[in-house]
Parts: sequence; C-alpha cells; structure tokens
Amino acid sequence: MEAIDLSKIRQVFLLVLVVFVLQRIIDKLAWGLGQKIKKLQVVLHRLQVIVRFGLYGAGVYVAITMVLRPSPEALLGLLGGTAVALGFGAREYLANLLAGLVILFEQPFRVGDRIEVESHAGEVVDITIRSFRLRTPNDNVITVPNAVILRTGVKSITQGRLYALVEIDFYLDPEVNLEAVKEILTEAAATSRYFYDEKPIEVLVGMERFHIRYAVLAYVTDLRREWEFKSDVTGRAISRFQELGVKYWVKPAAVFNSTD
Amino acid sequence: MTVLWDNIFDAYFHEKELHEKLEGREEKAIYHLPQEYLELWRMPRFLEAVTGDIRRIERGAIMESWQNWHRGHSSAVAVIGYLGEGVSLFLNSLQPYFGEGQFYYLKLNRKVTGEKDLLELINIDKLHQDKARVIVIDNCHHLFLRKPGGFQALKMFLEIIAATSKNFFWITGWGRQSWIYLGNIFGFEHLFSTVVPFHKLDALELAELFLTTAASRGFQVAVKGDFFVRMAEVTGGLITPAIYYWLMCSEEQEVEPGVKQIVLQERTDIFQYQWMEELSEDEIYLLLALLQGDGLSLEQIKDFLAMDYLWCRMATGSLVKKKLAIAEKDVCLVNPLALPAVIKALTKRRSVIFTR
Repeated sequence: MEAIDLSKIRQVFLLVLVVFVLQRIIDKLAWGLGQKIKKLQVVLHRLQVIVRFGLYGAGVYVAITMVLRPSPEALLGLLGGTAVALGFGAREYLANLLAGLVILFEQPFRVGDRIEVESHAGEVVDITIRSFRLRTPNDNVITVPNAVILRTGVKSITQGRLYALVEIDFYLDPEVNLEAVKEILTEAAATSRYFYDEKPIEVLVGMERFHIRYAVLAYVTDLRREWEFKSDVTGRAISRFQELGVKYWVKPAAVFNSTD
Repeated sequence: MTVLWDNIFDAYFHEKELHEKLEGREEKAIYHLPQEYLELWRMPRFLEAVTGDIRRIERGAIMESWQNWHRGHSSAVAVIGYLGEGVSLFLNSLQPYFGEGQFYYLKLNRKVTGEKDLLELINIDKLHQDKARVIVIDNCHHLFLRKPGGFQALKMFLEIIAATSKNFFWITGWGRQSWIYLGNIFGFEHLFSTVVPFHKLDALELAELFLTTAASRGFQVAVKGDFFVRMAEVTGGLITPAIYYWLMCSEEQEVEPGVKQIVLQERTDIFQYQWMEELSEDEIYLLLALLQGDGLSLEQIKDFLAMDYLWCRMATGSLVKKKLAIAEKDVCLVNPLALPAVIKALTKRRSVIFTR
C-alpha cells in the first residue's frame, strides 16, 4: 500500500464534506418544496431517498477512482480488509445497506406509505441507507433497521396512495333493527369529512356471543387521518343512535378477551 | 342561486361603496367602461340570451330522452352543472319545447330534508289532476344535508321517480359536486336514463359567445393574442368567471379621434390563487361543504364538519375575508369568481375528482 498521502486525506475529507452539505441542501429543498406544494410531498420524499443513495454512491466512486486511485494490489488489500472487517463487526451494517438497496429498487414500500413490519405500524417518514423511520399513530417515531425487511415480511397498507380502507366496528344489541342500523352506519361514514367518496361503503354484519358486530368498511381520504375518521364516524353514529333511541353497545373487556 | 349571482354583478357594477373598499386596479377598470357595455353582460339576462345557442348538445340529449319516453321507455333526466353555470335558466328555457300545459317546473330554493316537506312540495295526485307530463325539479342538491339522517327526502324523491317514471317525464337539475358525491354513496345513476353534464366551454365557444354578444349592440371589439385560449384556461370554461375575466380585460381606447373601441388584452394578474396551497385542511373541507351544499347556514356547516359554532363562524369569516366565499344573510357560499381556483384546490388537496 502506498504511504499515507496527507493531501489525499484532505481531498477525501473535503469530498465527504461536499456530499454531506449537498445532502443537507437537497433535504432542505425537498422539505421546503413539499411544504409549498403539498401534492408533491410524497413524490419529493421518494426522490430525496433516491438522490441520497445516488449521492453516497457517487461519493464513494469519486473517492476511489479519482482521489485515492489505489493500485490493483492496494484495492485488493482494501477489499480483503473490508471483507474481514465486515465479517467481524460490520456485517449487520452491510445487511442494512443491502436491504436499503432492496428498498430503493424493489420498493416494497415508499416514503408516505403506511406499513406494518414486525410489531411496528406507522407511516414511513424517511428511508436512509441504514434504516427507515416510521411515525406511529400516537406520533412517536420508530427507527427500524433496513435489514428487518430481509428477515420478515412487510405489509404495505396504502401502496403509494393517500386513501385507504378503514374498518370501524360497532357492537349492538341483537334486538335492534338491522337494516336501520346499517343505514345509520352508512350515513355516519358517508357524511364524515374524512370519507373518501370515490369508493363505496360496506357494512358487514357478524354474530358475536352477546351482540351483533357491525363492521363499517369505508375509505379515508388520507390514512394519516384514520383515527379522526374513526372517531368522527363513531361520534356521528352514536348521536344518531341516541336520537332514534337505538340501544348501542360498547364491547365489554371480558367479552373481548374471551372471543378474540 | 341565480338571483345571488345577479346581485354580485350588481355590486360590482353599481355599489360605489363596495368598490371603494376593494383594492387594486381591476375593479376600477370596470368603472371606465360604458354603462351600456356593462349592461350587456349582466346575469341572468346575458345567460338567457345565450342559453339557447351554447346548450344545443344538452337540449338535444333531453329531447332524445323525451322521444324515448314517448315510446314507452322509463326515462328520467339529470342535468348537472357547476353552481352559477345557468342550469336553472337552461331548465326554464326548455318549456317551449314541451308545451305549457304539461310542463311543471319547481325550483328548490332551500334545504328540504324531511319526507313530509317533500311530499308537500311534490304532490303527485295534484300533478296527475293537472295533467302535467314533464316535471322539472331544479336544485335537487337541496334534498339532502350531509349529516346522518339528512338523506330522507332524497331517498323518497328517488323512490317517487322510480315509481312514476312511466307516468311522468322527470328532468332534474343538480350541482356537480353533490351529484358526484351522492352518486358514489347511493349509486343512483341507473335511475336516470339520461345524464346531461353541462359541457365546459372551450376557447372557440367562448369567442363566439362574447364576440356575438358585443356585436349585437354594435360594440367594436379588438382581441389581442390568444385571448380566448387564456380565458378558457383560467376560468375553466365556467361562464361566471368568464364574464368577470372579460370585463377585467376590457378597456375602452380611442383608436381615431372620436372613434372608440373596446380592446381586450390578456391579463395575468386575475385569478391568481397560488396562495390557496396554503389553505388549512379545515378550510379545504369547509369549501367542499359549501360547494356540495350550494350555500350553507352555520348550523348546517356545524353538522357537516362536526365542529362548534365558534369555529364555524371563524372559519367562514376567514374564507369570506379571502374572497373565496360570500356571506348572504345567514347563508355562506363559494364565491363564483373563485370557483375555478376552488375546484383546482379541492382536486389537488383532497384527491377528489370533480370531472366525472
């Protein structure tokens, strides 16, 4: 291996700095533009991930081919050293990196999608070369290593769309008029401001031990509003039940445990 | 809501006080135009004059359906248009084609959500007695309120149509937003054998419409560049904003000593609503509510958005201040001049398609 050349180290350091600054600029631009044009927010996020990966790749390429320019022997030595290092300590990191590339090219999910992976569920807010971040419904952000997707499956709920199907369950007294309840529930969902009215509403009925279960299947305009949608529909339905004197039922915890 | 559209133009034309409150040169430009020229574009007179010509296709579709009904087919017609596009005038203008005795026209000017109220308004027995055959119900979007239990009158109305479409030829008028929404919820399109959406006017039609009207009173008009292409683009082919755009671009110039001419020049400072991207989600929902409801009271807005009075009052006030909505007595509705921008914003922000 050649003797350490300080000027090359300086150049590599400078290159890292340039890549870092460029990445920050791109991130800021994407964020700013996304704030101004909401519709482009998701697309920009996705582009941002691709550009970030491209930038890292270009940085490594420039460092090796233009700055360091190692001899074939030195390159082999470097690769051998890297392999040993990875075998010992950085295997997990490499797995994450590879999984990052899988996410980038296969796109099992993208930024803005709502996914479920292992025991986590939420909206994908960022994908980096090592991990991706999920925003959970209670506004926590979970960082999940990319390699997780190689080990387990990923369930993408929105698949690149904003709207998504939501199920809202109601448990009512078996004595109530089935058709009337279905009508109330359909109207409760259809009148919610979060309802995505390009899709139909279904109300499915099922028998439970002590009550009838009504599952309202309706689309929400933006899955980030899932909880507001559920709450709004439930509130509207309960108000109507009260207005019409329909006996509505809240599922008792004991029954819940015994049946599920 | 035609009466209200007329009032808006009255306000623009005649109420000096209002003009003094408005900023910018666009409103002032109107003042410099000859009064006779301004009167040409007053609604609903202008629309009445042009309805016959520009709605040939729509009328043809209805007459074909009428022929089918005569052959014994169940036929009902739904005419769909944006608010302020002249659906009411069009429906009224159909009378001569059917004959006076058998033509019954009813315009719903307020919300009718109870079955009883509906039956009082549409008395089938009386219609039989009067030997009415063509029944035109205008503003059918007033037959529902977007709240649980707010669809009773609409459902009954649809049942009446289904049950009597052999006896009566039904023509119904709907706001486009309400039609799309209700169609998706109830899937009732199959009830209407003929659906007649008002087509958006293209540059050629707009040119024919405006130039012919101006020429009818002897006004010499000089149009520069692709004026009508731009007009169709910024107004979305909607008639009310198109009139406004036409007036804002009109300028009287002296081409020779003593000879004046109206010169039309494209303007890029009109209908600039980029800032609508900044509207909050709640404001977007409120605009949607106002469009679907064709004007709503605070109580009705409260039902739609499930928010409290204070919030509704503040949100509607904010839209009025931004000139996206108009408050008329106790009803708030979308400003027809902002309609193209509102439709664009709603389509972008809510993934709602308004062009079916």
